[in-house]
Amino acid sequence: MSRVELCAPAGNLPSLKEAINKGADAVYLGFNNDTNLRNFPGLNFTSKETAKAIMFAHRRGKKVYIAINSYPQTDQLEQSYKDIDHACSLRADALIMSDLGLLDYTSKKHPSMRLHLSVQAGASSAQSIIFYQKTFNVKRVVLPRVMSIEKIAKINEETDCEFEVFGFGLLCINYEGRCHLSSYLTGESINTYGACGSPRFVKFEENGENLKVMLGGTCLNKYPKNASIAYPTPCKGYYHNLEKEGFEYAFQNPQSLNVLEILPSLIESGADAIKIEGRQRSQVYVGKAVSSFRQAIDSHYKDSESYRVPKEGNAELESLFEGSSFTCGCYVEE
Amino acid sequence: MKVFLKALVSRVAVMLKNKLSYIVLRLALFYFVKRNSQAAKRLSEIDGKVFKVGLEDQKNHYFLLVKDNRFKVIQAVEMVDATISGKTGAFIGLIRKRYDPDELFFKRQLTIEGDIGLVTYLKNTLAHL
Repeated sequence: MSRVELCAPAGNLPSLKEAINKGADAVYLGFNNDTNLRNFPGLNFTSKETAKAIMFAHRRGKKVYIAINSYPQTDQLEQSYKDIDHACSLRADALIMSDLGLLDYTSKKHPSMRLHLSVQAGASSAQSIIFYQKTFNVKRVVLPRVMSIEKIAKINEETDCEFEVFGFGLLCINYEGRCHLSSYLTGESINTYGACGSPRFVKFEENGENLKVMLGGTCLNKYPKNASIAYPTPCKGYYHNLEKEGFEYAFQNPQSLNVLEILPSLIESGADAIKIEGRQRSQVYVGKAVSSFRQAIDSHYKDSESYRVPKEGNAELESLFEGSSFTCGCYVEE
Repeated sequence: MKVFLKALVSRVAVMLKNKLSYIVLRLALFYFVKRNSQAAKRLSEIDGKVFKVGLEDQKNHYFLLVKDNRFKVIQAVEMVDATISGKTGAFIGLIRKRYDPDELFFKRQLTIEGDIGLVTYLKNTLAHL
């Protein structure tokens, strides 16, 4: 059985280099346009930077995966096709995709390109995974964050497809590939424009006592002075519930996923790769997260019986998290 | 007379400190951008925009104008596009790549106001350097 791969995010070249230098086996990135789901202003790679990134990684025996995982509308298709052709010409190690039309295009035009199914496709059953395997020759599936470890292990028994699971980062409402919540407030959905709660719709109003957070003119939250905050997305809104006559996180309490505590059982469930979320975060974030997970994974393989959550690494992760607390998410509690 | 002298010394000290941090800031920005002129070309997207950088602990602020793929420290402006405020240590930590900007923001050690899209663009562009 091969060792689990540590897959790190990069939104720029310094982050990619940091990830590889700190022990990532693979790095995933996107082009600087709306063909991927971290389309933030100024983030992501130009064509030249992507070529440099691939060269840097390959010289060190590491892999680069390119995410082209939005769901393009008809007028966006040309750009997606162009990026797919370009990623293949740059010799990326795999493309991470979700749209059926793009998967069809790539599997026919570039049959030798390795395909990973994005979490956005929401494939969460053996039947669904086998469909993507048979139809598009998908080699790996990034599993949605809605499944328990037991279910992941069962899928592993029922298919021979590789799968990748999220290990760290901000959680969303686990409705991957189908969420259009932000489009109701901003007119733009993550699946078509690549960012939920695009920064140009965000307003922060500080009045001394609290911080009012607005998205597309709607107030999502009012944080008391010095309280930790999360990036404003509609699913993390603290809404007024008229029935209960009070405020509540109607969809989801903002929490970050951290699987260090359950890492051995996640690896034993058959995961081929552990993914760190956060292409929008900095080189510092990438370095700390990769170091912590590298240490934990190596410690597990050295002596699984005596595995303990690395205290220092966990503290580093705690300094990075977004929202109110850590959670093991649906892996332990669906 | 003694009180007057004490006040004068204190005022001169503040002026020197501000002047020194002004020079340090100019030098830091110059070398920060020069280190990677290729990535600095991304600044052309926000040419002409003005950022106010507030140093809360020094009760001081600077105006940064993005011009010709570099930053210029300017004295006064009619309009600011976005404001970023925090303690001096936070900004030094960011320039030295010790801190993650989102981490500082989530923990309320940095505050931002104005055009958030522009601040995000600046943050992500600086990360390329």
